[in-house]
Amino acid sequence: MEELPILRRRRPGRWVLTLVVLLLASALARSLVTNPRFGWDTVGAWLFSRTVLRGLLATLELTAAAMVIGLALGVGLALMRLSDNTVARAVSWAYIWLFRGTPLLVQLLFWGFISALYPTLSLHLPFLPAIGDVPANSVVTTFTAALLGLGLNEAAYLAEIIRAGIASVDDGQTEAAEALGLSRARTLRRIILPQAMRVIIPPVGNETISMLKTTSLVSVLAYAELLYSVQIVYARTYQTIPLLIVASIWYLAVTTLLNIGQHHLERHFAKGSRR
Amino acid sequence: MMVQATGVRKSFAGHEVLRGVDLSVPRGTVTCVIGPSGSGKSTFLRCVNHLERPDGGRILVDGSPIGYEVHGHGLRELRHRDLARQRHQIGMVFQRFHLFPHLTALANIVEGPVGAGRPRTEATDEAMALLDRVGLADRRDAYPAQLSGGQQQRVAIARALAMRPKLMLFDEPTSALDPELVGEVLDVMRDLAADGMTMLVVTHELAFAREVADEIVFFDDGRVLESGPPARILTAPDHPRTRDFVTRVL
Repeated sequence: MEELPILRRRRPGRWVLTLVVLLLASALARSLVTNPRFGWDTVGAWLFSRTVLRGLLATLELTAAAMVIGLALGVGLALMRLSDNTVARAVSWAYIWLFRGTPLLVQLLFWGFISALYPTLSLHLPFLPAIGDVPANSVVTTFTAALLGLGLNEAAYLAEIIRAGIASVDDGQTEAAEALGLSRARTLRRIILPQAMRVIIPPVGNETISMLKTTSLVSVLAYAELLYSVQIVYARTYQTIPLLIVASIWYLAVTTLLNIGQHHLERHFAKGSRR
Repeated sequence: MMVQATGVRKSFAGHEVLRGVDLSVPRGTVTCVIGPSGSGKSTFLRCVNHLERPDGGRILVDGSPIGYEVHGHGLRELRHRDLARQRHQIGMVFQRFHLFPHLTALANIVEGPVGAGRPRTEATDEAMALLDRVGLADRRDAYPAQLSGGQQQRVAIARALAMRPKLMLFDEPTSALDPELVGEVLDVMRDLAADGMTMLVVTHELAFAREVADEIVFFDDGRVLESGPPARILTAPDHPRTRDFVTRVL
């Protein structure tokens, strides 16, 4: 027995699966190459065109700005939700109820048509003169409407993610910080949030990737982000499929980059958890 | 008196945990609080730095009411910022350490003083001296998860000392430790007592209490049943319940 060599276990399933995948992949590759309707030359011609790159830039700007608004507001809403102030808790709850309870598309349209609801914007507080009186359309441009729609909606989702993250940190951490006499702000910034980040980062990464693609909804407001930019082109040239491929390639490229960024962020906030 | 508590009461959800605790700790002495679990020892300790808000009674630390300020003819609850300033004077060590897991040993110790506005370089120098004092100078860059329980608790003591407190509270500091690690933590506490630190220690380590405490307080059912020097409480207590507890634990 002792002299017998150890033989590898046979794994026939792997070979079968490999064969099936190869067959399907080659069929797909063949169709990608031979089906002229993909219009690869058109894809190539438009991929780096000014119109498309401008749309891509607008998409990136919207994604970043909406996430910044969402995060800032989301932290605030999460803290309100966790505070012992009843009014703050109720306000946060109502906000999240409203913005999670209606479709984003509807919210975007509301912001887009805000001037139908409030033709001019001014603030009337009791016993005080009215402040400002400006046409709504000059304040809420297409870009602002898009940003408000995406950012305010995102805040409701991020608030819940951040709240869960903060709640995941052991109470002992707050107690230790209290016993040391750290201020509330410092406790949050230096002790609680860095630990909550480990729980917060993965879903926020998902939200960012999702936001990148959700910005395409803004095309209903005729704001020239990536999707609307290619729509303008194919409305003129009727090369619908190639231009949708152009948009998809850019969405995929940016998503891939975001994935890499998320991986590094997760590693950073895992500090201290490895032995 | 460093600590002077009178008639401290506290209930959780209708259950009375503290039923009027009177206790005082003279400056520069060590008081050990012993008693069965559930007798309110830890809750009382947490009232001393206002982690728990007592329902009744008064707690003075170094003559000041903790968590309140005299306002006209009453005591008004302090704002968080002012309470934090009071807590700077009171160090606390927890049963389960509660080190900040995302910070190194050194950063754990530096956090408090820097938060209180001391310059970082000065706080770092002092933190290094404290790490040296608890015998962990070589582990300054280790994260808590890389330290043994005993080492973590020693860092936690150093973290509390970094605030230069005039009173140290210990909440069963060795109860979460493997038996072979208890000694190193008690050694640090012994040193501290020898240095004249005023300490209030909730503990089950009766041998430590006998050796280090100036006074032992026996808690039972939310009250101080009796107190006195270790020699009397641990060998000839007045009360049968104390006698019972001491013989069971020793």
